[in-house]
Amino acid sequence: MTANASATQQRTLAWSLLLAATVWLVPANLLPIMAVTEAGRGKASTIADGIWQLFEAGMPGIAIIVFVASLLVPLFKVLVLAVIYWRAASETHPLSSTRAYRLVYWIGRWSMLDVFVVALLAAVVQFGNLARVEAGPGVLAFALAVVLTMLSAHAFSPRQLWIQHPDGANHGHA
Amino acid sequence: MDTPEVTHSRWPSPIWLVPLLSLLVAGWLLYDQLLQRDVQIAITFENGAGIKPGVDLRYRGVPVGSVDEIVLSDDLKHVTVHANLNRDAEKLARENSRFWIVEPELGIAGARNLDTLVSGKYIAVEPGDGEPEKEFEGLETPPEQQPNLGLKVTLVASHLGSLKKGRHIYYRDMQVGTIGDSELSQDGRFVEIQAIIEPKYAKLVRSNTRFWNSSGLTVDIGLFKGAEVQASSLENLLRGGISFATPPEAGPLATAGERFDLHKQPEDDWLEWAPIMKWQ
Repeated sequence: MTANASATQQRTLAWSLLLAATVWLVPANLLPIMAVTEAGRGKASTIADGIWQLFEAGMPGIAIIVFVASLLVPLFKVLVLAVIYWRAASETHPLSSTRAYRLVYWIGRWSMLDVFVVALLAAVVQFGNLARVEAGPGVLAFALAVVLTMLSAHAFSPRQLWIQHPDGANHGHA
Repeated sequence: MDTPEVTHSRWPSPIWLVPLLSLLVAGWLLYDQLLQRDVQIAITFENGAGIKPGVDLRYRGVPVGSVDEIVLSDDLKHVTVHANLNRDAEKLARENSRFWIVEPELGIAGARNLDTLVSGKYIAVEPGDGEPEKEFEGLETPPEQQPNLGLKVTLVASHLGSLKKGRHIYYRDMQVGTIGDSELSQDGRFVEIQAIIEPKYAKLVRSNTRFWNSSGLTVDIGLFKGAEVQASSLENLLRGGISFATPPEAGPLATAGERFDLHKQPEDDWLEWAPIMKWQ
């Protein structure tokens, strides 16, 4: 009973953090993440804008990488975690779930890459009117989404996927 | 041994505040950034040379917006510049607001807007006084070179000389008007120059007023009196301009469109003329 109770608490924490992360993903993708000023002309771009610009500039390879790393992966992480949490109470395939969980947990540490790139550019590229990079509000939302996803994954312990229920699997938790 | 007492709070766990707060803050951020978006305006210009998407809109030298895209009008006679104006500069877009393209000007009499050589052209705006408005007609020249409504008279000259559009018209070396468009007369014998006198000075122009080209330098060399050099003002000399004077017996007020001869130089007594004319 106590094991169950703490597992429920864990899941509540994980769920709420995951929900918050999902909320932040919306502004992260809709708001500009950085504004590049080149020769006096400024342009703020969202993640999707950036991918499209790379594509138009004839760099489809990099565009695909950025698309996967910045757009797909954060969404994919949230979705996978949601499925794992959803099934945790009555997990029938604990091994595959644990593997998925470990994968998401491992990707987590790389997710701040975008934020670092923006932070680095904003710090280094400051040549007044010639070229300037400024961080946009989107990058804050993106960082929050990433951190909240990581915290959510951290709050969840994959051990509870392996809890054997007395009558085997599919013992729905009330 | 005591057993721990388990109590269940009726309130949901405080951890749910995290997504709730996230929702509030993210929602506000989205609302602030997206829904209260910049004001979209369209400005029509005859010529859009040097204007590209991303070019600034500036008011008093400060960026207040930027150009989104430039499209040709259907009849190919204009370009329409779609621009967005920052929210805080919304009030600049109203009736009678004036937009013009600022470009570098180099001339003997001075250089202006040299910063645009490096940063490129930009669009300057001067707020109007009417209702909020979304569509504007851009000016071809800056407003200080742009004659407002004023008394328009036609000056007939044999040569245009340096009397280009935007040059000034002087009364007693005071600027009271601007030179407008000029064109060749029907029969090709003269040049017709439009002179626009500011409304408040319109009463200075009478039917017997004489106009002369004051850009020239008058050099008079005589055997006994030496050399005499005359120019109205240095700026006038370098940039070109028109001066006028009205005889002491001032005639009736000049009417719009009236034609005057443009003399090459003033006669000596013209400069002495000082009729009393209430101009206000």
